[in-house]
Amino acid sequence: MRGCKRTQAMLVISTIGALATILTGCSASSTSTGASSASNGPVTITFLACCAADQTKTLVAEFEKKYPNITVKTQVVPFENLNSTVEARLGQKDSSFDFYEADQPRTAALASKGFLADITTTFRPLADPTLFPASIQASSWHNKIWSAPLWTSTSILYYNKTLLAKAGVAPPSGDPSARWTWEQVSVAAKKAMSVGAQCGFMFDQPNRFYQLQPLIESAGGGSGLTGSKLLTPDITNAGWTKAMTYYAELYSSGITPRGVPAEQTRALFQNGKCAFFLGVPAIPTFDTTGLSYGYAPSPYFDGGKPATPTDSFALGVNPYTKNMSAALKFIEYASTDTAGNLAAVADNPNPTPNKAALPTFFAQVEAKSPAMKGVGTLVQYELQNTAVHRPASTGYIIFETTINNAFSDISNGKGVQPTLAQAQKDLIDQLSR
Amino acid sequence: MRNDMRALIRAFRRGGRPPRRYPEWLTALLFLSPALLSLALFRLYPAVKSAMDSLTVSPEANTGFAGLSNYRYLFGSNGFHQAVTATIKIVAIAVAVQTVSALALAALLNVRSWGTAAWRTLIVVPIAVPLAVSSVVFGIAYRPDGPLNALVVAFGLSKQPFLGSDVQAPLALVVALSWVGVGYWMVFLIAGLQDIPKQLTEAAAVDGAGATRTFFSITLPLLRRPLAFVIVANTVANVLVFAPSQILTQGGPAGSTRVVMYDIYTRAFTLGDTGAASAEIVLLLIVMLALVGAQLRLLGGWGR
Repeated sequence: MRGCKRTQAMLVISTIGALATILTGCSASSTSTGASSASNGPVTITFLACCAADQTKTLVAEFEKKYPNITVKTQVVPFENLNSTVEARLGQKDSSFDFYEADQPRTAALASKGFLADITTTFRPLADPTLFPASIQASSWHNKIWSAPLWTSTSILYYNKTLLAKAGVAPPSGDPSARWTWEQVSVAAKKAMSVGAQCGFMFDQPNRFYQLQPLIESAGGGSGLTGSKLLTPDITNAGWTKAMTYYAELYSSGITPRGVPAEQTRALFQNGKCAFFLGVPAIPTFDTTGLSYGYAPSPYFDGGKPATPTDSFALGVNPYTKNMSAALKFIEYASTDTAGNLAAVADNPNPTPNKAALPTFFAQVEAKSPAMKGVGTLVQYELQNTAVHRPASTGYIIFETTINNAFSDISNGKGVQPTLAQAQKDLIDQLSR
Repeated sequence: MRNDMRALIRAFRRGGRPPRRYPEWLTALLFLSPALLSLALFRLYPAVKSAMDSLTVSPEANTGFAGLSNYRYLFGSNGFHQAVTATIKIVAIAVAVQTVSALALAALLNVRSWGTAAWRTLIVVPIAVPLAVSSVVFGIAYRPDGPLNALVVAFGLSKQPFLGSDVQAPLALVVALSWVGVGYWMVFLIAGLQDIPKQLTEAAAVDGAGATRTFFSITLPLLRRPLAFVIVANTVANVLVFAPSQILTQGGPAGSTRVVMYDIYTRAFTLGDTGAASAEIVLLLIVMLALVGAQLRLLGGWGR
């Protein structure tokens, strides 16, 4: 009888033991990744990249050439899912990736949640002499640097020379002081459509705050977030309403086609279907179809001030990484090292934030694309004079998500004022938390 | 002879059956433990954690306990109202469309004739396609310049907005869901139909009942049990739908496809509002339990 009880007890204990083994096995496998950064042996670091693997292919290859001991594994997440992936993985203190593409306007939101390692001590001495101050500022929050700028950005107005000539429209001037107004763009776009253009005007990234903030700023609407902490929404003012009414009319009049996702807008212009296209400078695929095109400065609203988008992705380090020094090596190489940053901009049309890399970058762009001649001068002018940063608010992600949905509804034909009013109400609700 | 028998039985007992050292419940527990453990780990623990989080994680929780503030916030939130409305609308249409279509197809394909097996296979094949993949395919079909609009234009109609309209988008989602759903639920109904004794329909035929009368007076009443299962299980499945909203519409236009699961996901992983997301999970769980309870009741009583 006693033996029987002992067997039972042992059975229970061994069952619990087995369960405990399973549990610890699980947690051990989820935390042990890569080699310790303290050792000098080969290290593998994991890069959580946005959008497409070929956007950072040259950068990774050049880095591995320079640091043969470090292997970089790239995990790619689509743009729409990057934020939720970062939120989900870092919310669980996931150390299975070492650094990631952090959208610069999200710096405050990510840093305030503890999703970015503070890199100020090592990075500032390298960044101050090499990077444009505006780019460092976009990666900063509370006077600390949280990410290494990879690219910067701006917008230019592309036009299809063939379609404009057919419509008898003189192309817009390349001179920033003689830039077109949005009203002029609409008129010319309609003329081009009357002679057969399928689309008058297309945004590179429709329904995204990045692309539309300059319209709103130009109409005098401000960034949409006010107050000392930039947590008070202000999106129902006259400027917002004016810009959004114009946006709604682009779609309702058929100048801009509805329902084209950002991934497919470039193909429309590149295949000669659109008269105008607002996007980042030097899109390489535009030279693949024999398209005859030119560029002009970004338009503004009549009576308003010119405004252009800026900032782009930066590389942030996972605060839970086990490979801090190797991750830092990578992000420093990609940002402050001239050759490294040139490799970073090699596969992406966005301009460099690195002062020393700038002349080479634009020389390469202009050599590759004759239509882009002189674009470097325009980009530098826009970055210095008209660029507007997105609001550096801890609530930026909430703001952007809600506002992008509102843009989408407006482009689909929902009323401007009720949509903005509802978004304002939702934002007050969400930001109060 | 008798003694030999006894010896044999004794020997059989000794060799054939293991000596009974521990009680049956312990053996059962041992065998069940992997299932019970995963149930506790992957079902029970997250549910309990959500319930805890919904009461503790909140901007108003200074003392570590937030009371019902997350629930209060949720009930006042426009996004939650949109989510509930969109879910009820989509589930109601989807369940009606899928159940009726599945029943019609089951009745049709229950008739043994040439090609029935081939038709059944064709209808069931979409089950093998994950909902995320079929959503991507439907996304291409629904594009403004996509194949569906080409078809619409070929018939002399004007182009449709599909996913760009808050009226059409929920219906477009129902179509995408039903492409997989109809075949799946049909399988259960065919099984139910084949359980109906042939004698009954034959007797009805002898009594002079036509096909319609036989269907409504014999088939449908005897199909109650599988039908009740299909309706309730289909409701549960559609309430938990997430992929098409995430892939096709991101909850838009104007929140018309912002189903509850998508709302929870957005709150938790985009807005970073764990407290409100947990509260919504708890509410969803209560509704699900009620639905499953109804199912068990229906299967136990109504269909008998």
